[in-house]
Amino acid sequence: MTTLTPPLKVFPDPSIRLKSKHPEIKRLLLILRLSLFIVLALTELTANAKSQEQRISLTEKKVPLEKIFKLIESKTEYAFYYQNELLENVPPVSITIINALVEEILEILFKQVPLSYRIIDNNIVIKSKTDSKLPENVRGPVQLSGPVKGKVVDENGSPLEGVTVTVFGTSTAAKTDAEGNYLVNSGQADSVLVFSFVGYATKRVSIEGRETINLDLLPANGMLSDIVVVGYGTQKKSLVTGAISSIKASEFSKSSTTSIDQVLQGRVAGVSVSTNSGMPGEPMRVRIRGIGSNGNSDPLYIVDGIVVSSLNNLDPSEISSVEVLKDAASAAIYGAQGANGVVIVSTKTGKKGALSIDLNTQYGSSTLKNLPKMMNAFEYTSYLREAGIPNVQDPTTVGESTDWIDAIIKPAKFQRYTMNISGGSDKSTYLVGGSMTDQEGIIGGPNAQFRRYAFRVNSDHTIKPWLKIGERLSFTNTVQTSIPQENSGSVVGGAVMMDPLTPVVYAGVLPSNVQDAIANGYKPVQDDNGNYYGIGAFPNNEFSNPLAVTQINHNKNKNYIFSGNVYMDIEPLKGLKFTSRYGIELSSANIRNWAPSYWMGPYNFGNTASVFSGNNSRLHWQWENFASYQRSIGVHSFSLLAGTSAIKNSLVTMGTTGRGLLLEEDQFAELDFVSSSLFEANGNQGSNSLQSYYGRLTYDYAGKYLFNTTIRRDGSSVMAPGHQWGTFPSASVGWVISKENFFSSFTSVINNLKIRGSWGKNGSISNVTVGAWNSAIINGVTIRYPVDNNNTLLNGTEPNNLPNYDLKWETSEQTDIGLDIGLLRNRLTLSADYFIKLTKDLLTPGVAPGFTGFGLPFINGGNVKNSGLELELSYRNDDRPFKYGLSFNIAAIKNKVTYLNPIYPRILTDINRITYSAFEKGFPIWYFYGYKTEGIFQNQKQIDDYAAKHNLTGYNPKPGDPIIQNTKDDGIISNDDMTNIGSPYPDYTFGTHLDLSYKGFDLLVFVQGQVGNKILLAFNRTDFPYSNKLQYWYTKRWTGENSTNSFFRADVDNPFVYGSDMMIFDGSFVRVKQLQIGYSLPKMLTTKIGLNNLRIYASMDDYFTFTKYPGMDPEGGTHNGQAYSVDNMMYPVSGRILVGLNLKF
Amino acid sequence: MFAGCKKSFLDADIHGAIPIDSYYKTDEEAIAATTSVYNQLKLTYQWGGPYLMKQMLSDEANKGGGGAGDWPEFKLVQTFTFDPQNSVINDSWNSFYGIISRANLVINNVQPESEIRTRLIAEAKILRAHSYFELVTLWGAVPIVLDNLPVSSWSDQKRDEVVNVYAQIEKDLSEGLEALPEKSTYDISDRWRASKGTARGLLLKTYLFEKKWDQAISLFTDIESSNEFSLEPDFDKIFTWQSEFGSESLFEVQFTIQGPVTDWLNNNMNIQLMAPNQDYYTQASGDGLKPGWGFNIATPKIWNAFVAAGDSGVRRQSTLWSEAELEAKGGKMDPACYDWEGFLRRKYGSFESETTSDNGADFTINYSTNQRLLRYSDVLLMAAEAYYMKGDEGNALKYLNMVRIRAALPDITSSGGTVLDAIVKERQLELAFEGNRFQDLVRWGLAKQELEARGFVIGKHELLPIPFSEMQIDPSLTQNPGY
Repeated sequence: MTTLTPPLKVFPDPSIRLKSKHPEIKRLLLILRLSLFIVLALTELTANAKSQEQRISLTEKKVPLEKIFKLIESKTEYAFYYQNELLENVPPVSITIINALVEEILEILFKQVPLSYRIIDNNIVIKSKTDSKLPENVRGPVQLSGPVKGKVVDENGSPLEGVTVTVFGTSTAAKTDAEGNYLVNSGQADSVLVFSFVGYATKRVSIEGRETINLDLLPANGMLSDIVVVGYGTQKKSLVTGAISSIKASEFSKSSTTSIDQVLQGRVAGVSVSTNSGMPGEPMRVRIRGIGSNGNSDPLYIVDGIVVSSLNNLDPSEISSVEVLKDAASAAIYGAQGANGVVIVSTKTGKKGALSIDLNTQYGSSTLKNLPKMMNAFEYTSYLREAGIPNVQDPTTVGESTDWIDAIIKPAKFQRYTMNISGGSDKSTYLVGGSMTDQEGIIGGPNAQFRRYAFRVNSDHTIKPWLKIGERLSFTNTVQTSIPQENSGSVVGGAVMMDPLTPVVYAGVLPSNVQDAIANGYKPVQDDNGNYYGIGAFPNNEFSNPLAVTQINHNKNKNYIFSGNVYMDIEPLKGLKFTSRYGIELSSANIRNWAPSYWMGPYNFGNTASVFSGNNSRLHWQWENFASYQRSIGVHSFSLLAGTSAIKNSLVTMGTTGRGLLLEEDQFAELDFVSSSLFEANGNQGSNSLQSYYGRLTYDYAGKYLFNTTIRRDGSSVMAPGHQWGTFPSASVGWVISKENFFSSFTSVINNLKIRGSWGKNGSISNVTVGAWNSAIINGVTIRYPVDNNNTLLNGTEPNNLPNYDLKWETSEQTDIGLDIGLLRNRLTLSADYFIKLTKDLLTPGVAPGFTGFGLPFINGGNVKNSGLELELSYRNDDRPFKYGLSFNIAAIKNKVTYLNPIYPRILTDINRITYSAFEKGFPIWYFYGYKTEGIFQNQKQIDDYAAKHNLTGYNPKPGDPIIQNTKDDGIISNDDMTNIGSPYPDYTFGTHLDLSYKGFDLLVFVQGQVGNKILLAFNRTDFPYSNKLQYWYTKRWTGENSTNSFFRADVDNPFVYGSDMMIFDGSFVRVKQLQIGYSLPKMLTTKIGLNNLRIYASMDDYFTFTKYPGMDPEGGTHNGQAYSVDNMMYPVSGRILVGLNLKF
Repeated sequence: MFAGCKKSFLDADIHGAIPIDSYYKTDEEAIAATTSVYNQLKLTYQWGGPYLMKQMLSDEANKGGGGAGDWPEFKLVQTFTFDPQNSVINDSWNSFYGIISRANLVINNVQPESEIRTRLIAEAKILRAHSYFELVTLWGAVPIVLDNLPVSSWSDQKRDEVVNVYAQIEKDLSEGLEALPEKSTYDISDRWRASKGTARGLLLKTYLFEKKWDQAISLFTDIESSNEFSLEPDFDKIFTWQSEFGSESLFEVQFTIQGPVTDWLNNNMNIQLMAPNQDYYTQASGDGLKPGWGFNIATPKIWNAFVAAGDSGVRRQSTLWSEAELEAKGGKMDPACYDWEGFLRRKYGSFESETTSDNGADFTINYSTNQRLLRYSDVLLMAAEAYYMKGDEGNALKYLNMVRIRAALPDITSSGGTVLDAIVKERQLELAFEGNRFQDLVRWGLAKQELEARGFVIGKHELLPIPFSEMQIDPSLTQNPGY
């Protein structure tokens, strides 16, 4: 078995060898072999060569025998076992042999020395020639005196069944039972016990006279023994040639995150996870290796082999591992869906052994720590007056200030409960789980709440030795209430825009305008106590009292999601396996929104209540059939995979709006109780399908030279006939240098050294809708013409858009070079990757000449290059009572548009009618586009000089206004002077984890951050001069000659200022994502009360943020396809304090 | 495994879309396709658009709005500091070609096999001609696109000479005129459609701009003898919904009060956009002019023109008020209002009678006021001008004075150059805030004189810049001088 490392070799501590007095280890080796077989059974794609057939070359003259042993160990999977004294008087040996079997080498060597050897599987036991007999029958343990007993548990405190406990150097061994208990006859007081279990790091413990030795085994963390999940199978990490980052449940089991995307945050270099909105239940934005696409750049999410639309329906407690396929070669097996990277989630399954129950509870409170500071009443009135805005009260006469941000933010409760019950027999394993998450919003409270009830049943059954079936099923119910967010009419927008002069609610006599409104039959909004909400001193129709907006919004989305798969594995011959897997994701969303009649000022009111009720049903089904075959011939191991896949997505939508309610209360907000007979209804359905063929070949030579190639061919119904099919190949290679002869002298320091290289091609059509290439006749509400004044409308028809028959797949080509190093017995590991990802034929919004008269939804607009360096570093020491681990990752990614279809030299987007971002060759994708400033005009003379020099027209600055660069140098400051004013992408992002534990106490610190990204503060509304501004505007403003050269005078609407780089801020931040302290009761105590583990902890999540950014949240911001890092008043990320309890039975 | 059903598995499942090849066959399809052309016309005049752009190019209006930062591109138009990237200019260009392309689909695909289809093709030609007229008078030589262009030909569309664009307009209007019915023969529910009168009126205007006086006069004679049109007796009724498609109307864009449908695509958003700024304005008692977003504010110049002409009657009062008049009636405008220079525009005003909040509608964005594109007084003044240019002062004065009589102004009796001055003056007053002034000034050669103070540069600003994006996609296009 060339591909697996004998667990003993993980700790090749020479001192052990001195202590082995009884080299009767065959039984141990047999057990090991069994263990290894189980691992192999899990790794369907692992090469399976017989070590006996491994061939190596050696040329050594007069060297100690021990050196030869080390060379053989470094080049093969063989390990040598001997007592050091044996080699003390052995003469040096010489050997020159090419491409020989180890047996042949040993034959030659042992002719030169007075020693004999015996090969037992991968182990070579060296003996003196006089003691050459090994007991042949090792079934029964050799009875020795001095039994040692104890209990072995896993990292969670659950008993581990089947752990092999061996007295080192002997054939004496025992196994733990279902409770994790063992009893072994050690023989000698100074013997060493070796605890080994597949997937866990082997531990050795010196008995030192003890009778009871309890211990926990931790999952193997050395990269050599990890199994990673790849597309359609698993692979040993030591053989991986792509860039795959793997996160095991043990790494996030302590975290209090409620979603998988949060789990990814800050843990994987090159994967950026940021908040679109901090509103509970809103998904995060996951970007793997930069922005390679417009619109949707989300990675492909695969849960247990099935594509899912979102990871939001899973609770982290359901997950056993998350793999991120970053490079194209790894993702290429997913072809047309893999261009933005792939996230593979595997859910937990039962383990053979006794019933295990795992309970977690969390309870906490969320709040907002970094509140943006708005101007108070004095600052606001002063600023507006300075800006020349009329009708503003004298600042010295203002009364109390209303802090609207403070007013909308209330601590919100958070609770989460999870339970997993698992177990299994030799034939079947099962896991039944359930979880409940309830999170209220810090803004909007119960009106912005997310609740998730998730249930899972996973089981696997070995029906026949050659037949295995099983299923992964989950049912999730989410209930989300939401408030308007982002821009016009939003709650956060209202809090930012509202003047600080208006009270939250009126006390005492109502102002006359509110009294008039009531008298005229309008309904000003009241709070729960009957108080009327304040109406802005300068009302407009887009922003209103945010609490009133919260009060009238009743938006509820109930989603029922059933997802999962059933599968069947047939293994007719050893090494050949057929898998058939059918999975679905079925979701039904019930949406109901209603609002009462209301009055929020003269420009914002509704005379009639309205209710919308709708349902969206989506069905995704996927049928995968694939066969894999593994074979080893000598040192050559290969595996083959071939399969087909069929996917179909269909969506049915319908919705109806009615007006006027019998009573304006929640239980009457149904279409049945609507008073008006006029309904507006909409509905549609559609589907798309994807058909695929894929194959993979992996080959390795002695685990040293690795090669991997895949190909996938995809056909999609989304594309035009003739362009429906795409082929996506990849190839990757690896070289495990640490296994080379010449490296043998370094292996004591560098345990593992591998370099990898990969190239691959992926496709993306996630942004294309069915038929988008076509031009077809449609009708719709936007194509109507009124024939009279009574809203009688004539329906029109027209082509939906211009056709683009040449629309083709967006393809990304990626080259990756990687390096994996393991040092200090693999305690210190380092992975580094450099990649170049070129997205070709990028799908951009189409720009057609105006004279064609129609829009063009998609074009293959250009190429974007993302290149970057990723580094992951981790150190872990679990050998002593004080255990600690530190990991750090950092990524620096550069983004550039390298080619733009010459027809479309620059594509612009705007926000609030100001152009803000552009897509152009030579710049980062959607870079910020605006006026560049060069300081502030301090006095009129400067302005005159500047005007004279530039023959300036188009811009009439006053002292205190910014100096706008006339980039075109044409004498006119106008739109064509707009230029690159910043990139929304960070120079680098990083994350670091520290965990410590000592005698039951544990501490977890997780910090994440990014440096160098720019944020466009876009929420200022230049068309509403009375809208409030950040306090920054007041404190940093220019107040007179030489007061400042970096920020402008009080000004609320100058388009040159608000369209300039003065609105661009540094978005660098460092956020303490998690700070957690836990305590686990000693095992002695827990065992007494019938528990395996009890841990309590307190955690602060997202609690501390360090940033200079003055806006809402450096992580938040609009991220539509054509604008990144644009702060448009999104719901901010909240911090949370919580306490939790883990229980295990 | 899908070998047997491979084809069907990847068949696109598109609902609600009809292949173009199989469309445009029946009367119903032709009606719907033509409705789309009108819809595009409606969208063109609904929100900002060429109307507001032309107002900014004139000497009648300031941008206004919430401040300098509120739709700043219009300010660049007002101050003649726009460049080829100006979005409101580019939007107007796109809007007109949007009408043209939809008209092309009707004209090229609908077969004139029934009376109604013949008429619909003619209607499409009128709307196409209107769009080319606006394009040629604002941008000069423009590409004549009469068909749907494949991508491969985008980059070689050249600007056609002005004379050819005019020839195309004449051709469309003449052909349309042939096939269209008179306005009076339309069913009441079809009265918004282009009629013979529309075609004649637009053709008259085209000839006038081409200085083809004989043809212009001939067209006018046809209009007059058709007895389809007359002046609305009361000037203050012209822009109300009661007079929509009334006796004075040759070409008009229909807007409606929105019903339960929450889209705001069918009301005239410009009215709210241009209503007096809500933060500064107090309504006069008993007056229906509601507040809004404050664009398109009257300049002192247009006020002074009325004063100089001695027009203080119903026409002036329906066109604009002074601050003093507003205050006298109990209203108020805070002088700090952005771009406010003391005069309140009332033509295309945000009158309460033109909106409603029934059916849950928001009255502020629910004005039904139609956009008048061609009215009979304009026709009369064009006729006067053509007659004058032909040396027929008698007829020139006759039609000029018809317009003046309604405005309760004395007849002009002078002769010689002052007659032309009088016509020029009358057009300024009669058609104030109707989006004609800029094209008239350029046509008369008076743009420098009247607009230089606002930043107009002779030799440059007579024509708008060809949009930057068009030039980029189509290198065969050339830019207008000065840009």
